Parts: sequence; structure tokens; C-alpha cells
Amino acid sequence: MPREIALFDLLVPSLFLAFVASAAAQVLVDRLLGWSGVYRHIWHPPLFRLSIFVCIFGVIGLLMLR
Amino acid sequence: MSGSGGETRRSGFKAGLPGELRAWAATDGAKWLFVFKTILAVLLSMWISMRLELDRPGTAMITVIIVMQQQTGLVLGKSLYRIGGTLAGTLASLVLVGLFAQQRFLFLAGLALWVLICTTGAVLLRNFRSYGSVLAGYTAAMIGLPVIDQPQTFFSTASTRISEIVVGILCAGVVNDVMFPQRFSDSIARRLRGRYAEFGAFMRGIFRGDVSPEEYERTHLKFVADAINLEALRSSAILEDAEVRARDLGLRQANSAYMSLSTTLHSLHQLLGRLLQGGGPASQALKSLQGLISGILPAETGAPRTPEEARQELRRIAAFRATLAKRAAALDASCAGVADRQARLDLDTALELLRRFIRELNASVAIYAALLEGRTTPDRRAVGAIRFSLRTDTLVAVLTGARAAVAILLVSAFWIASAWPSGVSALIYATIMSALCGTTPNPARSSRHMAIGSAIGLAAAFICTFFVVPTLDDSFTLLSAAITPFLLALLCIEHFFPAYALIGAGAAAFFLYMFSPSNVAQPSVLPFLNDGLASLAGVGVTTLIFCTVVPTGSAWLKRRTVRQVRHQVVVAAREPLDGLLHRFESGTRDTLRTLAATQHVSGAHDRHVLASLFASLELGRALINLRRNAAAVALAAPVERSLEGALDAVVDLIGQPSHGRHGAALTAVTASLSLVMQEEGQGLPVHQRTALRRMVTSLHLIRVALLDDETVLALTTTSPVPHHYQGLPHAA
Repeated sequence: MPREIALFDLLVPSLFLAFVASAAAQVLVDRLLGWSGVYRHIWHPPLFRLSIFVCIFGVIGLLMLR
Repeated sequence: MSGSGGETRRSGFKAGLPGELRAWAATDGAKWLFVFKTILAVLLSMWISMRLELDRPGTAMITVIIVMQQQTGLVLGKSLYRIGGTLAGTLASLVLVGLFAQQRFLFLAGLALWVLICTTGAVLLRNFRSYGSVLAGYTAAMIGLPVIDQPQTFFSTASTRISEIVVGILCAGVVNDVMFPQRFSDSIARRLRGRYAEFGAFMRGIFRGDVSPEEYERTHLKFVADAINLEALRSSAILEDAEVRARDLGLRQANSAYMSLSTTLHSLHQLLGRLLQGGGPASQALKSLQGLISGILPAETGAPRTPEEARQELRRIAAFRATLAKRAAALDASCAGVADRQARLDLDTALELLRRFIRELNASVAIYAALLEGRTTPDRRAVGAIRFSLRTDTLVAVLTGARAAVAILLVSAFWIASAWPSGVSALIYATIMSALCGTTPNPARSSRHMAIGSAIGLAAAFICTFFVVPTLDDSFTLLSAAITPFLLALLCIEHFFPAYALIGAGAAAFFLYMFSPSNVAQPSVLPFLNDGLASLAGVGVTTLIFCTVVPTGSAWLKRRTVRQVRHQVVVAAREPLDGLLHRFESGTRDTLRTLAATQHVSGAHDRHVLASLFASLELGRALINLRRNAAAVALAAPVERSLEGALDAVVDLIGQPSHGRHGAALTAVTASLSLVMQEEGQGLPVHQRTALRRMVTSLHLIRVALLDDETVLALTTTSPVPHHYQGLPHAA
């Protein structure tokens, strides 16, 4: 995977795309967890949400730059 | 002896300590926490921007200061609009640079036009949308102006600027959300509770009779502001907080019920005052009615905190309602000897208003209880029916935009004429300030505060850049340690002295703007001072323009507001009945937005605006009730015609006030009053009689309002009149 990708002739870091993708994935996961009521059993939902995001972004990023 | 005294005091101190600590944590503690969170987010954004080697970490840091909000929920909303506004501004500057890179006149004119459009939009829109619009305006200047001489660097500058802003937004969001979050729903609940307690105290004060007219005005203005603020909070919270979203309908209902209740309270108070002043035959009965009311008012213990307490309150009101019919009958009987038809009508109207008041009080307490329990009251009305209606004066919006454009054009003209090397800095800052302050309720004051704040920020940045930083080693930790005390002091001004909040905010932002830590070598004194002083000059020019060109305090604007408020009566008389009550109540309050935001009644003009608010609310409510009840029963054709005529006459009077029209309105209202009373006298089924009785009281209320000099003056003149003026002659 290249480090930079041309997006409409604009060079952007591929990690940026990974970031946007993981933000989208995080929104989905967040909806799912909120709907299933998991957040009710969690001490600090915002922290949990942030950690999930870091996990998603980390996995995608590491897979991309492997 | 003294020892034992000390002992008890100490044990009292110990016992009171947790409570004191909790109180501190809820007020000052929360502010300190917020200040430290802000500083942490600023430093975090600085570190990330430096790691990513962005040009100006200062932009990210300023973004943090601007985006940070006490409540967790609001950051996301503000951030989304900030990103949107930045992108729109960047696009606009791309267009401007692309079209007029070699034509500075056209470029500057285009920029002024863009800021005019955005500022106008910012006045027309509300809350974060308005904020996004402001940003779109000045971002175009921030990105376009510095590269005007080297258009080829536009793309790299623009993309770094956007990256910096996004870094700032993310830092603010993460720090605010993860560290000791202050839940949004808690703050709404606290507001509702505070409002409940305040309203209760106000009602008790009114019926005890120890509220001075000034206090009455001030408190009502505060209620208006509360209604507008709750709507603002609700509409921005809906974006993000799942809990608020679930309670959205309840919050809308609560606001709607609250506005109706405060209007009814005003009508009742006004009617009782007028009738008691007259000292008619029914005044004795009215006095005992007043005693009756104090039985229903909430106790002094403050707002109920648990659903159980709220239900108890509801039971109390229900018990009172159950006995109301009997008490009313007793009152009626006590007046049986009074032959005066007029006096009986007065008493009936007061009783009807009291019933309405209790009905609405009951409804609002019920909604409050439902909100406490976390469920919404089943209501047939859909959410869409309870929509807060916004009344914005388009002309004022355009003028606000034009004022910002004038500021930009003036500074540009000076820049071009004098070939001032630092003109760019002055113009950038003038644009930012004219867009930012132009949309505040009191632009002159806020831009003055911003100017003072910028001067303080410049001094702080100078000291920090040239006396503190050069003595440090090249390390991030030391740099953070150098900035923190400055930021701490400036942010404390912002949060601990609400009157000078803008000075603190302006100082903190300008400090970061000028200090602008970077990865490159030390700046030199001369360019620093040139830039800084030029920016200060830009703020100064903006302040001057805000003080001189269409100042918001001007009598002309106040007259326009009065006319707008008055027009609400026409809305009440003319618009379709569906959902009209809430539209009327919210719209009338929204016209007073500016006055409510400043919370400052000064001078005869403001008082006149408030008087017209009261008069319009009273008259409009009566008109709406009349129309509702008239629609509920089948009326004989002549009665219907005469009601139409009365409505027309009132609308005519409001549209073009004159002595003749005032007389005509009174005659028409009196005529339909007697027609409806005749109709009521015939043997009709109960529900029809109830509706007719309510129509009689509404008509009587309208008539009493039209007979009241103060109300008529408030409804027919646009500026305050001297006291010796006798008002319109009585036509009845």
C-alpha cells in the first residue's frame, strides 16, 4: 500500500483515508452498541467509545501499512 | 468556655464540609476543571501539530479555545459546524483567488461581498448554524489574504490550515468527552429545575403583591430568555446526546407549556390589577379570589427533585381543582347581590382565567414529572406541531452584514491608499472581528471588549515570546510550562468574571494568534510588533464602525422591534388555528431575542418594547382563545359575522392605529360581546355553554385591554410617549 494516494489529483496520506473509514465504522459500531444497550453497563461510555475507535483505526492502519 | 465554643464550631465545620465541597464542586470547581481541561487540550493540540510539522500550531490552539464548551455534548455540534464553515470559507477563497488574483480591488470587493452574505446568513440562522456561517465568512479572509501575492501556494496553505483546524477540533472533542464529562442532559435537568423554582417564587411574589414593576419586567424578560435558551440547547443537543433526543418531545412540551403559563399568569395578574384599581362592586370578591390563588402556588421548598415529589405536587393541584368549583360558586353567591352586570362579567372573567391558569399549571407540572421519570407524556400532537417559531428581521440581518462589509472596505481602502506593509494583518483581524462581533446582541460592547482583550493578549504574547521563551531550552515540556501561566490567567478572566468574559476570550485567542509557537527559528521584535499593532488597529476600526453605523441600541431598531412584536397580534387573529398557540407564544418571545440576550432594560425605549410584548401577549392570547372556542361550536350567522367584524377591527387598529379605529374596534368587540352573551342565555347543551362562556370572557378580556390606556399606548405607538400624554380617548 502506498503511503500517499491521489484523491482527485490531490495527494493525501493513505492513513487519512483509513481515519475517515474508521470514523465511519465507529459510527456504525456506536449505533449498534447504543441500540443493544451495552453502554448501560459501561462505566465511562465516552472513554469506551474512544478506545473502540483507537482499536479500529489501529487495526486498519496496521493492515494497510504492513 | 471559649474552648467549648470552638469545639462546636469545629464539629459544625466538619459536618458542613461535604456539603460545602459539593457546592464548590458544582460551581467554582466545575469552572476550574473546565479551565484545566481547556489548557490540556490546547497543549495536546500544540504537541500534535508540532509532531505533524504543521506551519502554525497556533491555529489549532485557537480552534481549541473557540470550540471548547462546558457541556460535553455541545463540542461535537460546534465542531461539525466549524469544519463545515471552514470548508465553505476555503472554497470561497479559492474562487476569489482563482478569479481575481491580480485584481486586488475586485478581490477585496468580492471578499467584502462574501462576508456580507455570510454575516447576513449568520443573523438569519440560529445557534451553531449561525456560528458556522460566521466562520465561513472570515475563513475566506484568513486563507485567501496571506497568499494573495503568491497564489501558487494557495493549495498548500489551505490544506495545512484545514489540518490545523481539524487537529484542534479533535483535541477539544476528545479531552472534553473523555475527561470528567459534564453530561448535557444533567445541565438541561438543572435548568428546568431552576426555572421551576424561580417561576414558583415569582408567582408567590406576584400574588403577595411585593414585586415592583421593574422587577416584574426584569423577571419576565428573564423568562423570555429562558424559553429561547432552552430551545437553543434542545436544538443543538438533538445532534448528539441520545438521552436528550429521547426526551425531545418532552422538552418541547415543557417549553411550550411554560410559555403559555407565563402568559396566562401575566393576563391574570393584569386583569386583577385593573379591576382592583377600579374599586368596583366586585372588588371584595376579587380580593378573596386573590387569597384563593395563593392556596394553589407551589411551596417554597423549590422544585421537586424526584418523580415522587412531582407526583405529590400534582396531587395537591388536583385536590385544589376538585374544590375549585365549590369555592367559585361560593364567590359567585357572595356577589349575588351585585346587580351590576359589568362587575359580574369581571368576576366571571377572572374565574375563567384562574381556571385556565390552574389547568396550565397542572399541565406543566405533569410534563415536568414525566421528564423526571424519563418518559414523555402521551400527547396526540406530533412533535412537528410544537415547533418554536423564529422571527428574524431580514432587513436588520442585511444591515448587519452590510456593516461588516463596510468595515472591511474601509480597512482595505486605507491599506491600498497607504501601501501599508502590515495592512494584511489589519484586514484579516478586522474581518474576523466584524464577522464575529457583528452577530452578537451588542456588537459595540463585544467588539470593544475584544479590542481590550486583544491588547492584553498582545502584551502577554510579547512578554512570553521575547522574555520567557528565549531563556528556555528547546523542549516541549518547557514550552508548555511557559504558556500555561499566561493561558491560565486569561482563561480565568473569561470564566470567573462573566461581565468580562469576552475580554478573557479575546485575550486568550490573540495571545495564541501572536505567540504562535512554531518549529522555525525565533521571531524578531519588529515584524512581531508591526503585525500585532496592525491587528489591533483592525479591531479598533471595527469597534468604531459598530459604535457608529446602525448601532443596535438605536431608537430606529427598537421601533422596528415594537412593530414586529405588535404584528404578532395580527398573527394571532389571522393565521390558521392549527398549532397557532405555540407558534404565537414562541414567535412573540423570539422577536425580543436581542433584548432578552442582553438582559438589560435601560431607558424608556426598552421599557416600551417590553410593554408592547405584554400587551401583544395578552391581546393575542385572548384572540386565539376566542377563535378556538368559536371554532368549537356552531354559531348563528349574525354572531359569526360580528366576531369576524371584531377581529377585523382589532387587526385594523394594530395595522394603522388611529383614534377612529380604536373606537371602531371597541364598538365591534362590545357588540359581539353582547351578541355572544345573548346566545349564551339560550338553553344550550353544556359543552356549548362552556365554549360560549369562554368566548364571553375572551371578548371581555379584549375589551378590558382596549380600554386600558397603557396597553393601548403600547399597541399603537412605536416609541415611548411623555407621561403627560393622555392617551386615546375612551370610546365606550
